Parts: sequence; structure tokens; C-alpha cells
Amino acid sequence: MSDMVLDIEGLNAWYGEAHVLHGMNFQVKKGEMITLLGRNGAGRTTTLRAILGLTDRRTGSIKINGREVSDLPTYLISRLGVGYCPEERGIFPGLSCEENLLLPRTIDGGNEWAMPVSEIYSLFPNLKERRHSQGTRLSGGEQQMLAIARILRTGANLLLLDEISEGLAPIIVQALVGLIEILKIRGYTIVMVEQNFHFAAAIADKFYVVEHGQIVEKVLREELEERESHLNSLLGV
Amino acid sequence: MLLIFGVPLQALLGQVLIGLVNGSFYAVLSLGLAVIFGMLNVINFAHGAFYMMGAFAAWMGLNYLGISYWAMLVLSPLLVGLIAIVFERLLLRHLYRLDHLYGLLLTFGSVLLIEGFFRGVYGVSGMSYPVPSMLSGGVDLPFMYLPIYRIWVIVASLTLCFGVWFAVEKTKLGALLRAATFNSKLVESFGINVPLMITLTFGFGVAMAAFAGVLAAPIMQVSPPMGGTIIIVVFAVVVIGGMGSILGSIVTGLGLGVLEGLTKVYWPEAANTVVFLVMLIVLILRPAGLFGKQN
Repeated sequence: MSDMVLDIEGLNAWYGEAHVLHGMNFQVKKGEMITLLGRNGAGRTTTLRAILGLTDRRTGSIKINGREVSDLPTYLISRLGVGYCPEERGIFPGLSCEENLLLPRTIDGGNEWAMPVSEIYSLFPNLKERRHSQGTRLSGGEQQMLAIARILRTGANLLLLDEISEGLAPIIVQALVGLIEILKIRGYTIVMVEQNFHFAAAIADKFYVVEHGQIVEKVLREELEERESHLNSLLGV
Repeated sequence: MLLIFGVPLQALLGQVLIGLVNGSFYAVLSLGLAVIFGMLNVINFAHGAFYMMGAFAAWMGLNYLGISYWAMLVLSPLLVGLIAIVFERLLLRHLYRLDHLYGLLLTFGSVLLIEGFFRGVYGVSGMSYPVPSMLSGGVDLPFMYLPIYRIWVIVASLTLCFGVWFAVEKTKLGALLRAATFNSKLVESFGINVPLMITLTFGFGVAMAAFAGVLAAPIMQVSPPMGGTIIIVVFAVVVIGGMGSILGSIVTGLGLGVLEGLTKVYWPEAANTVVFLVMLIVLILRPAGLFGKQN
């Protein structure tokens, strides 16, 4: 059996009349972590949303664990083990921290990836302390932890993380690096969109640079040092 | 005889009771509208027509098939809810991405079709529906006569309203509904079948209207215009309570029913307009409604 978890070929996506992705191609192997880098509006977030069918229209092929999903509705794609952490964190107002945590459906029949709530609380002690608080009253860092914890509980093993370090204090970003490293050790497959290059550089295995809805550059972690200045110029850092 | 501001206590309490009964209908209907608007973002102008269909289903069940009031209290909401589900699947779901106006026009057009059909078959004069024997008669209290059926309407409506409030505010299903109201796409990305949730929510909201229709059948004339008469006031209730607010619908519905009843006693000429006067004041002072969230 192939160890390819995500295989994207010729992915095009639209919001209304706006054609945002122009033939994206990339693959992610089991346990691998890739980062989509690029300037605002390049199509990185749209790539994550298109994988889940959250764009208005898309064409091309998206295979998850070898299964074609481009014609499936969002909720069925999610049930294949895809967890999505959106850029704006998506903490629901009016729901407590714990209600937000327990909201998503767990993958059918449960699996070895589904993290019990007790384990989540030991990994994120702040969430346990504040479990009865309104989700939107948590600090930015706590909300981000909640957004990640929420998808870990479902048993998803392909995580789509969108700008998780955005707007967070350096000390919280450092804690996120530690968390992602734990997830990598546990074997999660991660696709991350990130603008904070230094955050991504510390943890990702591969870096794809996105421009005008296409992958224009692929850099492996071991090549990072020698190609960093080239990447910086591409990203306008 | 005890007078309250020059009005006999018995007359005053009688009008308060009628106000509570009307308020119960306002509460159930506006609650259905609120649930539908919250989830579908559609202003369901056909809600009154579905209420009328509920009453007609009860009347037809009794007169054509001999089905009792109690059985129709369950069957009529199921039947009308099922019709609503077909309506949502075939027509309404194509409009979710468009402006509110399109949903409003579609449901308004449906009212004309539904009412036109019933007018063509049954005319507009209205038909009577007997009060079920178990609920006929009343209790003669020292200060007023209390018809049992009207008490039943208030109790049944309030039980339904608070049951819905509890389900939406205190259960996991309710948390999902509230979350989907805020961001349905994100909820779907959590593996929840949101399109099905939307369909069932519409079916349930409409079934509530049909339930109110069955409750209304024995105390109002079952006629095609009955939905159009009440729905205008119900929309005012929704605006005053706050669009999409569950608690707002219940409290405002009952409160305005009583206010309308009291106005009938103290200023009869204004009884039909007092609700709209309140709406005007609320729109000026608090445009999102008494219980709505100000954006």
C-alpha cells in the first residue's frame, strides 16, 4: 500500500468568478509535514479549503489515502480523517471552551488517532482550567490551542493548519513549535500554511512556495540553509 | 365588583387570557421563524401558509378520515413538515448563497400558490372544528370563567417553546445548531452533515407552525386567510424580539399577546396597531431587537 496520504494533481479552484488556484500539484507522505509558503493572496489558504471542498468550485484530482475525494461533500472528506484548523481559529461564540472542544464528530468507529479528552487536557492544561469559560473569552494562544485540540480529539490524522502562529506572542509560538514536534513524533501528517517563515523553518520537512495559485518552488529541509536567501527573496521577507 | 382603572376585573382577566392564547401562537410561530432564519438565513414568508395547512390537515383528518384531534396533533406537523422538507430540497436550497430577498420572494410566491389552492377548493368563509371533548367546558372561578381549551393552548405552546429552547441551548445537538448558525462551512468541515441539518431544521420549524395550526383550529375559523392574518403580527414579534433569537421569540410573543389583550380593554381602537407601534419604537431605540445581538 502506498504511503502517500495526500496527492493533489492539477487542482484549480474558484471563489465566484475569481480563479484562485491554477493547477496545483503536490504530494504529502504519511508522517510528513509540509509548509505552504507565499505572500498574501497567493492561494495557500485556498489550497487547504479546496482540499476540504470549501471553495465555490474546484477541478482536478485530490486523493486522500488513495481515494479520490474531489466529488465528495465536505463532511465526508472530513470523515476520512482530515482535521482543519482555520486561519481565524473558528472558535464559536456562545459555546464554552469544552463545548467547542467536543463539537466535532469523531471519525467513525474511533481509531488509534483519536485523542481522549483526558489526554488533551494533560497536553493543554490551560484548556482544562478554562473549560467552562466562553471559547471566545480565551486568550489568542488558548484559542489556538483549542482549535488544534478540537481536531486532535476527532481522530483525524491529516491535519490542515492555517496560519496557526498568526498574532501570537513569541513565547506562545515557541509552545506551538513544541506541540507540532510532539504531533510529528506521533506520526501525524501535517499540511501547514504559514507566513512566519522562522516558525515553519524550525519544524517542517518540505517547503512549497505558492505564487499565483501554483507551486513555483520546492525546498527540502536539508536544502534550507543554502537556499534561505533565495526563499527570502521569493517571499519578500 | 372590583374595578382596575375603571375596568371590571373579570373583563380584564378575560382579555389577559385571550392575550396569552394569542401570545402563545405568536411565540410558537415566531420561534419557528427564528429557528429557520438562524440556520438557513431565509425569511420564511410561507410560515403562515404552513400554519394554515396544519389547521386544514386537522380539519381534513377529522372530516374525511375521522382522525381525532389528538392523533392530528402529531400527524399534521409530521405531514406538513414533510412537505416543507420536499420544498426545501427542491427549491429553497438553491437560494442560500443569494441575497435574503430571493428566499423572501420564493416563499411569498409559495404563499400565493398555497392560499390560492385552498381558496379555490374551500372558499374563504372558514370552517369550524370542534373542541375535543376532553378539553371542552371550563372552570368557574370566583373572578372569571376559565375555558379549559384555552389553558391547554397556553400550556402546550409553552411546553413546546421551552422544550425547543432547552434543546437549542442545553444539548449537544443545540450546540451544533448554534455553531452552524455562526459558521456552517466550518461545522461541515468537522464531519457534520450540515445540508441534512438544514433540511431537518426547516422541516422542524415548519412542523411547529403546523402544530400551532392544529391548536388554533378549535378556537379560530379554519380558513385559507388565517395564516396571512397572523403572520404579519408574527413578523413584527420577530423584529421586536430580535431576528434569530430563541428566547426573544418566546418572551416577546407572549408579552405582545398580553399587551394586545390589555390594549383591547383600555384603548380598543389601538388594539390592532399596538404591536406595530412597539416595533417602531424598538427599531428606533434598538434596531437588532430586544434580545438580538447588536452588530
